[in-house]
Amino acid sequence: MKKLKILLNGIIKENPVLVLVLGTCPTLATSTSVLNGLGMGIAATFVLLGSNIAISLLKKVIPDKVRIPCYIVVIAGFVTVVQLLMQAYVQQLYKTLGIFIPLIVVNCIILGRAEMFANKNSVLDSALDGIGMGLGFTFALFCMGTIREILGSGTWCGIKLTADLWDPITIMGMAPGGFFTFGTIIAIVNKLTHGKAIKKKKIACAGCPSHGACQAEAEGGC
Amino acid sequence: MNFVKESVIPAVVLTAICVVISAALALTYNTTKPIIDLAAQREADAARAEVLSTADGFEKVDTSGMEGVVEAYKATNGAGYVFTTSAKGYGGPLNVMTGIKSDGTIEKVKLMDNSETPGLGSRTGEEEYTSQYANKDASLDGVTAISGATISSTAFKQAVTTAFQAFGQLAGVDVGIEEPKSPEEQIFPETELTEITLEGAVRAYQAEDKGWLIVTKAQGYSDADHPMEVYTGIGPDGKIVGVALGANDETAGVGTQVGEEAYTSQYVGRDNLDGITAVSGATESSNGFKKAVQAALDLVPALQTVSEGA
Repeated sequence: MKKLKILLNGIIKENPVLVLVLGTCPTLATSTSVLNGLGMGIAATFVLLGSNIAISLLKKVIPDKVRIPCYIVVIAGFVTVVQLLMQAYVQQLYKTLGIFIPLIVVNCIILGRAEMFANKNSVLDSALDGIGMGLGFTFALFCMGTIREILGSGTWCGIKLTADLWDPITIMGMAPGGFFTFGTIIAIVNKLTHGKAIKKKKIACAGCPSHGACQAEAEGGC
Repeated sequence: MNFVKESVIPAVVLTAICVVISAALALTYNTTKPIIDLAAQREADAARAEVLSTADGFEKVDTSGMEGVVEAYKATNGAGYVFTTSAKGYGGPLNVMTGIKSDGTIEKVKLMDNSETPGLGSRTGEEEYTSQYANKDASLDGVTAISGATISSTAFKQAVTTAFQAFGQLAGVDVGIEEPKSPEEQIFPETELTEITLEGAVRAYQAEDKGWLIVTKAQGYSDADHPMEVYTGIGPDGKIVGVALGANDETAGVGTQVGEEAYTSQYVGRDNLDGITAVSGATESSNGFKKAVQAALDLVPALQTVSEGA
């Protein structure tokens, strides 16, 4: 069923973090613990769902010239709403995620999907894509979080596992450890999909940060 | 037509989207603001309840003009006060929350914002140190510093003392804190000082018939722009009545020990400084102090000539 395929796409085949390599900053930052990662993933999923629906609804209305500013205003609006709701109803999570909540605005996954999918597809498809990508993001955060938390603090979801048995490898909870884990997981995903996952990656030229300097667009992209 | 399509419509659409989003934001903000404010209030109250557990609620008290006091709350049931006070720590301001019961004794203290060295000065936040303060009154007798973290410990103690001073002011109670005596008061208590000119001294005074008070400067541990001011009281016989440390930039708790009685009492009754022992661990401050006193002694003949001639 095509709808199901769209949903599952974001979880494995085109996982935003592990395949499309989008949203790496919040991934590295919040995967220090499983609970933080899950919190971030759920907040981002909610924003993805909302922004994808909104942009899909507005795709005929927004002129091409101003589409990026419009997308950003919509996304920023959603994130601020999520932030205020979190601050009011789930203070503990809000405090833990701190600066990373407003940073969801610049999370490439959200702008990337708006550009790559939502402005070309129906509302329902966009919604499913949003959920799928969000779940994929959360899943990646969960995997990375599990590895980094167990190795780096000896706990899992706050439950002590090996923390009292031996000294945890603190570096795993810091930036270098994040990169080690991230690189290793991407390598494993590549191996499992026999390199096919990467070939399917399509980033619209407009969504690429090097767009202004790149000459490849005339040739049909990179 | 093209102009409208190319330039006007995009602007209009973007503006319209901005307006709609702004409306949504305003709505969410207004709905959540009371909840957020209430949560913040409850959290601050929880911290306060921790240091003054017998209180059932707090109301803020005006502390403008009270130096070192960040904020103060009074318990609505009269159980006491909670003060957040600040003192100069090792790495910056050190803030302490103190719960003072209505009987003038501490219930609990808590280390708040600070920039102390983790593992050293930050240990002032640990139970082992803070538990010393429980049930103490304003004198804070018996509170020992953390070895290796003198400055942080001194700052913490100072912050708690400030809390007591504020308590005394707000509760209208005499907490029995001795105001540190001025150097003049320390040497010539209750004596009228008339200023005289004395070349070579920062300032000099005639202390009625008891002698003279000479103020000199010398560089201690701090840099040349911040010399120590030393007060030397000389009797008519040319012997030292007393010495005291004035304005200085010496390390609190270390170099400032030269101002304490254990060191200054050595000088009393002398007309020369052979055999004065420095404060261990504060050599430069001690040497500077001694130099300043010597400079004062050197000016005595000039004073004696003046008085003989008068």
